[in-house]
Amino acid sequence: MFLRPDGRDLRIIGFYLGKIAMALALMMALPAILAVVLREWDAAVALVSGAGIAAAIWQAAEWRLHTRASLTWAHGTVVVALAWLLGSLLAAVPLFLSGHFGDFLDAWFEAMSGLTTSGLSVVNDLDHLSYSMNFYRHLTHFAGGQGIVIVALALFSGGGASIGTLYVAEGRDERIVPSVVRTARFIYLIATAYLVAGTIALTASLWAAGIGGWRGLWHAINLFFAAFDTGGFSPASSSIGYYHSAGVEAVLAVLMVAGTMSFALHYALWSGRRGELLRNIEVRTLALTLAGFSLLALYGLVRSGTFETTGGLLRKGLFTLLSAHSGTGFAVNNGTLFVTDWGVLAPAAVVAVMALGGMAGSTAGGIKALRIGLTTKGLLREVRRLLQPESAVTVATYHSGKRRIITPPVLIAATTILLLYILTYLAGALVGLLYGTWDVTEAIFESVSAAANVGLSVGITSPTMPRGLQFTYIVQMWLGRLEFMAAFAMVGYGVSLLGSRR
Amino acid sequence: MARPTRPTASLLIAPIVFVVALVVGLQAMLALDERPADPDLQVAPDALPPLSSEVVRCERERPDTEPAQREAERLVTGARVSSATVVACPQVFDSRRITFVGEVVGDVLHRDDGAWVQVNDDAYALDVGPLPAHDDLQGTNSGLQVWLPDDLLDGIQPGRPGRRGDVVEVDGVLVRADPQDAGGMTLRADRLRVRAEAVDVEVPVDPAQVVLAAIACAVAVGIWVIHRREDA
Repeated sequence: MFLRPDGRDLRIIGFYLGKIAMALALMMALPAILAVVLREWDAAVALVSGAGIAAAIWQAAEWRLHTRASLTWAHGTVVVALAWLLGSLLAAVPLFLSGHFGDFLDAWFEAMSGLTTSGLSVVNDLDHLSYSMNFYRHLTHFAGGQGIVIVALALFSGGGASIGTLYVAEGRDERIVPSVVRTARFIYLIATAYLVAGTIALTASLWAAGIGGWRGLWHAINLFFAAFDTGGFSPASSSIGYYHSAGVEAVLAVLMVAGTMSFALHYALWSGRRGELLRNIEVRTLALTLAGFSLLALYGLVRSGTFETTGGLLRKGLFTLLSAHSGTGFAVNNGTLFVTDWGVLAPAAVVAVMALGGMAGSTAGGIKALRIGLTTKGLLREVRRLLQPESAVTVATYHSGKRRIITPPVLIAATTILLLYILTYLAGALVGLLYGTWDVTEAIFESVSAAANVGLSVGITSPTMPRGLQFTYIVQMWLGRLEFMAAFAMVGYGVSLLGSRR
Repeated sequence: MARPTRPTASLLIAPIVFVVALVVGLQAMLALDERPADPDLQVAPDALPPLSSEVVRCERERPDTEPAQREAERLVTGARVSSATVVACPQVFDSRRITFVGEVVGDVLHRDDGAWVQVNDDAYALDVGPLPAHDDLQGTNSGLQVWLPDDLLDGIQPGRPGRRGDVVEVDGVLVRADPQDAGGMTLRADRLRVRAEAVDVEVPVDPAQVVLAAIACAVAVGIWVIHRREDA
């Protein structure tokens, strides 16, 4: 029997969505302060407008919808799914007012891309975008990546225990420690530690690269947000190729690896359990897929003669593969070159690692190493079972924090999500092909990049792209971030709601 | 006990109406204040070498790439080319001498004996000037990475927020996979002429946005005050 939601349920959902609006208002206030300091008055007005609208929604929800009712599982799932839609719409307001976006759909695309840590961009004339608005773009990566939805609800709603269920709804797999509030605190502790260390290292490498003074610090903070949260926006239109610096790329590589690690793994390392690094199924899977596809890409690049020196081959090739596999999407070359200069094998390897993605419970998108590892082990178990006597009992296990048995429900869940990702990749590619402008390679590349929240582009994503395709990518980024289930539950909830009104 | 259903309709419709009104309102607000590009920021086309802006795309390891490359060969005449033309068929331009015109943007990244600069040849650099000083949107930035030896760097002013940088005409050799940049594509310049000096661009504040910001903040504070009074 399905639940029949009514006005009381909508009230609860609306009230908690108000908390998200508050978090967004705070997120816009920070760059507004920077805009005032830098005397960027146009950006300041745009950011204050956005913050004001978000704050008004928050206050309206507090006033008219206030409730002491706790979130149920169903409420929480719908809140999470709606929060990404509402949040991206509100976050789009300052971007649209900045004058760098042709229409609101463009700004919404950028905001969704930022919050879901995708990194695809349709901004016009990025190289003249104000410092504060550019900082705001990168801040959306940090807010989305560090779980603005969960944190806002956990810290400001007083319903920690019931909100714990939202972790799964947001595709974050599981809580790291029993309390959600403590989990959120730990996530921010880790993020702060990396923020300080990463920003110092990036600033030093940027100063060495020739960007001195406060501009070096500004670039460093923006790059940190984009790297650690596996986002992919960059302060300059030529992405990481702008810096011409092995030092900058090396620091970013470390941050991308840290960003694609699950917070549970960070917690294990933080607690001194270094053995987890060798036993964890996701670490092993990622190491294998990264090594395998890197070799494939390097072979492809050698075969096509793209690079003439080993140094160039390794630096550009491996950075791009790591950027794609971690779900970051930083580029060290013009996107068109993937099509015109990289041959056919290397871009295929890039697409493959984008589709696979990083670790579950991290900010990375894609199918995730956990599901790849589980599906592979499940497949091997089936093969083993076929080769053994019928009476033999075959058990497959994996290590993730502790030794676990692969049960049929776990395997079904992993393969279901894997299948849904593949279908989403194909659906986006098909929509791209419908326009008849791009070939299948380009359409698949861009679709996978959007649905896996990566951000590398062969040039399809631009301010002049077809509106229908742009909307498709928005939906893909949203589905990819939520890992489908919360979105499906929201649709089901809506259908139940309409059904209950008949 | 029957659950109340009366408020459902308003709770469903109100947020949808609000979002639609917000989007339409914002779109209308910006549309009412369309600002044209400043003609003074256009770099006089007559003063620049003629541009071969034709784009022929060659793709490595594809069966049809050789005819495309042959077609692209005719673009390589030592004349001015666009960045779009170069990245569409980089093999043809490799080690060839080209002329490139664009705006220096961002930072001058000094290294031994020279510096890296990004030179954009998009519409914001050459035709309409930087955003958001106008509403003539022309897409994303595009350009090339250029290596300038020390003797060409004198007084170069890069473009940034609120400033259109120096528009320069550079001659040099395009290196498709430059070993000095770990395989990046570089135009190694040996001649540079400033075609238009850097200029600060005024970015006006839209009065309608000021009003919007004031109203939004006033509504938020107003609701907060009413709510507090009701609670008291």
